[in-house]
Amino acid sequence: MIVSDFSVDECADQLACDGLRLNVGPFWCHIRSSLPLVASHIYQLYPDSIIDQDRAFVDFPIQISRKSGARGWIKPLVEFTFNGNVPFTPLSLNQSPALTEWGINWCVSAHAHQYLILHAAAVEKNNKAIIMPAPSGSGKSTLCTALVARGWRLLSDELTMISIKDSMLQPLPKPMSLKNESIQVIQEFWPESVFGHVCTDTLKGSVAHVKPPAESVQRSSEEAKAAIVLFPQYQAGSSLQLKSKEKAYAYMSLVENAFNYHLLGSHAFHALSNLVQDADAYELAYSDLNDAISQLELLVS
Amino acid sequence: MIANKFKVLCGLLTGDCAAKDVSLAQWNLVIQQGRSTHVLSMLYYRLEQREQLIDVPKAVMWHLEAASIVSEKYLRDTRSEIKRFLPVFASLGLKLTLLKGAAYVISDKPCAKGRTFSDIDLLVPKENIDRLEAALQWHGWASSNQSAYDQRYYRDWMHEIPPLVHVKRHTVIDIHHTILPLTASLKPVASNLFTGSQEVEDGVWTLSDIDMLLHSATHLFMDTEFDHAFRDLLDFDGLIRDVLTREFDWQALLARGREMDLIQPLYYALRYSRRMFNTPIPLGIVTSCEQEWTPVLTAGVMDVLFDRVIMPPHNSARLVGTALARKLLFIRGHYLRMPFGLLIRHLFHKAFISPNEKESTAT
Repeated sequence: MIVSDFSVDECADQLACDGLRLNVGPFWCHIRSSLPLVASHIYQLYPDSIIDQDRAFVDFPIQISRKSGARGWIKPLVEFTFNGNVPFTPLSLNQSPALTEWGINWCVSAHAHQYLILHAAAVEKNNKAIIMPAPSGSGKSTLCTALVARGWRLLSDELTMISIKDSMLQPLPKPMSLKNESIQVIQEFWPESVFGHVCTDTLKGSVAHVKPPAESVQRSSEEAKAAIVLFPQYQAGSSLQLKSKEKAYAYMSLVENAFNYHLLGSHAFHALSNLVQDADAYELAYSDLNDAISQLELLVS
Repeated sequence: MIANKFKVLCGLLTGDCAAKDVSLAQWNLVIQQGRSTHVLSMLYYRLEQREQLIDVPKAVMWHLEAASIVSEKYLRDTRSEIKRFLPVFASLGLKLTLLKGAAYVISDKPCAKGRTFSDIDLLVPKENIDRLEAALQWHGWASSNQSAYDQRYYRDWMHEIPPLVHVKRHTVIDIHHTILPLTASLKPVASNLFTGSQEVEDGVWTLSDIDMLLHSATHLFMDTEFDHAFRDLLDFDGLIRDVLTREFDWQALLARGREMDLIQPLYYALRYSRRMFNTPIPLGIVTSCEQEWTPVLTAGVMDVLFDRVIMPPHNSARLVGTALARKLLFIRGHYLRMPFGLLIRHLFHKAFISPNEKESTAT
């Protein structure tokens, strides 16, 4: 069954009692939380994800709960617990949806070393995947969400997972995270999009998450082959510019954006070499999302 | 008795339990407990060695594979650091002697395959420490930033100098000159440790097998913190099983324990390794060890305490009183490491003076 087979109250009950065993990409999270904000986040943004309450083995046992102690009476804090440990400093109650997302991302990037994991978005169309590595602020998530709005398949908006066995991309179609101005940009660009709770005053400013399309979630076990490594650069007022980049540049930039390149050693070297060998690399400066999308449609046609 | 909830993990690690007999629900616990005790990569190699990886369910397998990849990184880093140490040690005419995790791994102990460790421990005669520290500084290892009190604490009272951290690679080395604090009531003679040491590869030495066992026991049972107690006891179990594959003289172990004044930690290690991992230690050896000293607290009381701290800090196994047991053993550890007067002085400093020092340096 999937999350939307529940009512929002049933979803909250499951989370609060035995926990919800939720499929996220190739992983199973066992999430426990009695916080209504977490329940509504999961209900709104993971409606198409599979749940299996009889599942005996889970990858990530997670708990999101109010931090106990007197301070909680003045300013309630929420903490993320993984396997009995608390890996981050607690956040305020209002930020619990963001904490849930960051927490799951951390579970993946800190443990799933059978993949080379990049801080990058990845989308796919016509069996051709585009990887967009980029530092925060380059408009990577905005462009990724806009492409998804136009029917591209979401592989991942934050963590691109490359199998060290065959360099294929393993989808992790979690809610897409938007910050500050991009929230409004996407609300206008994609009026039908489903947004979760807007978490204000986080370290990254305001953060909101967008529900991925059902199709992307349903096809999450379908790997994709990287065809293009794209370095997007949003520049207000600029005209569209597509520049071809060398493979060596693409390789080194991907290394810079990797979470576990050095940890994986030769596994990462081979996986990334194979990937870059078979992919073209471009830099794309844009100010208009529609122009950027038409350009990318051409590249994968 | 001990940790039925840990039976499957312990059994898989020691070989008492086969991977094919483990249910998915049990694997769920094994992976969580194994993660919190840092033994997943060791479990991977042990199952590989027993040709049981094939019986690990597909959903479970990546946890073990990913852990083994992490342990490869530790091994790679340790080897590359050792390569850098060797010329420095050679130029000073010193033997590079590894202790603990690095020693087990580099000497290819089968039980240590996949063992991870956060710092590299070295043993050097006390009179050479200053020269070595000065030489290492030229190669980028600097003493971690600590208060004058901490420097004094380490240099005058402890068995090691403050950790050295490499400024670029951030690797950490702990240089020891003996295996117990100088202020401890038990007084092993450090120079004896070098007499039996063995060269495990070109220019790299470890303690003798028996001293390695004694050090493993001492490190675990004379300490104040027990975060890695489960894995450390697993080391002891593995080292015992390793020496038993060759001809092993139990009496020689006891004799060396006596000579080094380490019968007490040896007794606890033998006792709890047997309890936890079913280590094939003859009961007679444990009892003859027991007869050589009179514990302040009875074995029953110690069992209650140690059972709580050896068991991993995992929710599945939290017993009533775990936090209290940790506190009591923390105090016991300090008491064993320092005479009472000095201990009071140290705790006073840590409680009332150190926090103020931190504030004043912060502002």
